[in-house]
Amino acid sequence: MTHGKYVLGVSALFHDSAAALVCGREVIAAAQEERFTRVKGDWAFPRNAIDYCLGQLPPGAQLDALAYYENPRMKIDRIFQNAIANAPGGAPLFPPALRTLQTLNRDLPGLLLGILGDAGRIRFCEHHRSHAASAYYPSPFEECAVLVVDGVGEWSTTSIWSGRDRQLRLEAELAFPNSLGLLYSAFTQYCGFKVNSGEYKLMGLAPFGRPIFRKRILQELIDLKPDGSFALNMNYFGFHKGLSSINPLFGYLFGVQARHPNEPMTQHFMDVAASIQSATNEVMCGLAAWAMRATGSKHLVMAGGVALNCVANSEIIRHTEGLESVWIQPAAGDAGGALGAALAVAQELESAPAGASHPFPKTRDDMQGAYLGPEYGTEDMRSALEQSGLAFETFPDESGLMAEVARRLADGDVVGNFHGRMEFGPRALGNRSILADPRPAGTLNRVNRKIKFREGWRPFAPVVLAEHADHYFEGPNDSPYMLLVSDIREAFRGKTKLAAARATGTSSPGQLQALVTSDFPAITHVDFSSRLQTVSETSTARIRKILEAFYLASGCPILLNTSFNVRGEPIICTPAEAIDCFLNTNMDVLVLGNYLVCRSAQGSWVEDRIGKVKFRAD
Amino acid sequence: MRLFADTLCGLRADGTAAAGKDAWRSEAESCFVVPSDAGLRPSLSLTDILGGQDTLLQAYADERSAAGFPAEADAIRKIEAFLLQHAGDLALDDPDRKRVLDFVYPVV
Repeated sequence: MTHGKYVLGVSALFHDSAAALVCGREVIAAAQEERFTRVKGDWAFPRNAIDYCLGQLPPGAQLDALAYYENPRMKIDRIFQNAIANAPGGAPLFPPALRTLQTLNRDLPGLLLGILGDAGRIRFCEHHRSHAASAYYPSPFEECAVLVVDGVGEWSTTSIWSGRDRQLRLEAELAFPNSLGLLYSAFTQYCGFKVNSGEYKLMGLAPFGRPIFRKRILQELIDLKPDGSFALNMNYFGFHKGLSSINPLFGYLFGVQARHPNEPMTQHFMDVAASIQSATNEVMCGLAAWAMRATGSKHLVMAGGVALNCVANSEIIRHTEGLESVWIQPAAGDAGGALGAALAVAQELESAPAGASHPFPKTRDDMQGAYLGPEYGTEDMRSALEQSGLAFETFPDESGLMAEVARRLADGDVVGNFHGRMEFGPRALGNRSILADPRPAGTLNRVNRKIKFREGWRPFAPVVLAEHADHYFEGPNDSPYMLLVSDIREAFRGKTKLAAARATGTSSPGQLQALVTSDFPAITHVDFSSRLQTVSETSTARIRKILEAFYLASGCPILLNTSFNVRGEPIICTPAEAIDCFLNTNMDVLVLGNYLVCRSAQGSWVEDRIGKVKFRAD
Repeated sequence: MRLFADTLCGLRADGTAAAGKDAWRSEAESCFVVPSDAGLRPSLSLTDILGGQDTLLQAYADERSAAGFPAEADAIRKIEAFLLQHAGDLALDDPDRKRVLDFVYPVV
């Protein structure tokens, strides 16, 4: 029996650089560069992530190919043609365009040849094909429709593929500048959040608002066709000719100019957020429906940055006729392009004919819970703890540790959990997570203000034992990667609804959040939605054991789960970073492998450290 | 401002007026474009995309020339010559611009 080809995938130089290693159809490793450099969304060439992935090659094994997630010549074409089309008005974009041309022209080939010095074995996969491959190949489906929606790669901004017999066939696409991702980013900027990182905040802001501008968006900004395809009215945008995503007319369209990041949030911007989310839902549902029709499939897989919009994802599940199942690549953004490029090239290199002896039907996906990053041994953790000077306990018996963690969670402690391989993709799914009991009223504010140092109104996500999800949540609730939203059932909702809360005269997100409560106030939004992560009975991840122990201790199968980091920083990677995060925040407990660190057991120097480190805005 | 958006912004670079207020809308039933060749083909090697040239810009200039756009090919070659001479000038060291770029994201 021959093994698959070893292919290293790389996505780099634009945002969220990453590397991934596959062996044929098997995903061996994947990680984002930001986790190593501690630069959030790091776009630099991912030397550290590459080193980590190459370190996972078995002894004696060598790379068969290096796959890059874009076609740089096509990207040069888009940049050059866009500059011609918008000259001379597009002059503000010339300097970054020239920098990009320089990078693509000289730097990129040299960097790739430095990894694998054979130009014939360095392969370039088109950006949307990389995304499509990242969604199709690891999915549980033999055949499916594939929907890719993002900002832009080379030219394509939206693409629909048919996946069958391990081959991808492009069915339809939309081209730059008609981009749902860039439309959403324009609203991100308008509402005062950072483009390319604040989109999730815009989605989180939407439930506070009323979609009163939805019609205006669909009439004035986007020409939406019945098949979900669309064109943008470029009179209102700036991304094709300048640094800003929007131009001043955009503000006039909504009667208020763009919000400065430091200005208070107002009802107007909450309404705008609700409106663009509603419009996005409509576009995504249209695209999904057309993808199902075009391919004749009942299964849908998705990737691209817009597939991280879990509200739109759930709308697709709720409203797409004939859709039986959906799978979304957990690293749906550009980081996942590294994995997709590697899988696509590995597929090309497979000697077996297409469709032969494939392992379908699979019972689950090939992502291994997205736990594809580095892990650290007991000695590494002990050494880091000893260097830190922290007092800690050792639990040789995991079940004893789980019981102790559950007891502390039930007592209201906030716990940082570090265990096993780091997650690939933007979500912490338990191995690099901060956990808390979602039931106490003060948990939301405490974790937001004292641990994450972020806006107090932003709710957290629940992680729940999968077999209990349906009891607490209605709507789509099979969500292993935290990519869907469900609503908490009526029985667990408070009496005050959002409309009544607004009627009190407040429009402050924090006050609205405080008025609209549930039995799980830290993980429910003002519309009673939750960004759900379910952990199945077959999961071997430690988060499953913590949930089981917490359920045993408290009768509650749900925990608050937020990423193990503070505002503006990437999710932690190493034991030392976990300890740093513990020291710089008001976290009560740190679980590092089988070691337990309690704040209450530390000397006063630990308390004195909090507040000394200032964190960047995210 | 709507007048500005609908009328002035509708002017084309060559001075002719666009069709009108809703010129950006199309009557077509779909905005999908015919899939590009690139989407239909598998990956390309570095050897392939260099097309026998030393750099990607040279390969792209050849492509535009072969497509019947020699002026574009000339412009690309001039850009590459500029980049060779002035690569250092492109460094992002203006703090104001850096601050702007921390918030927005140029689509290039």
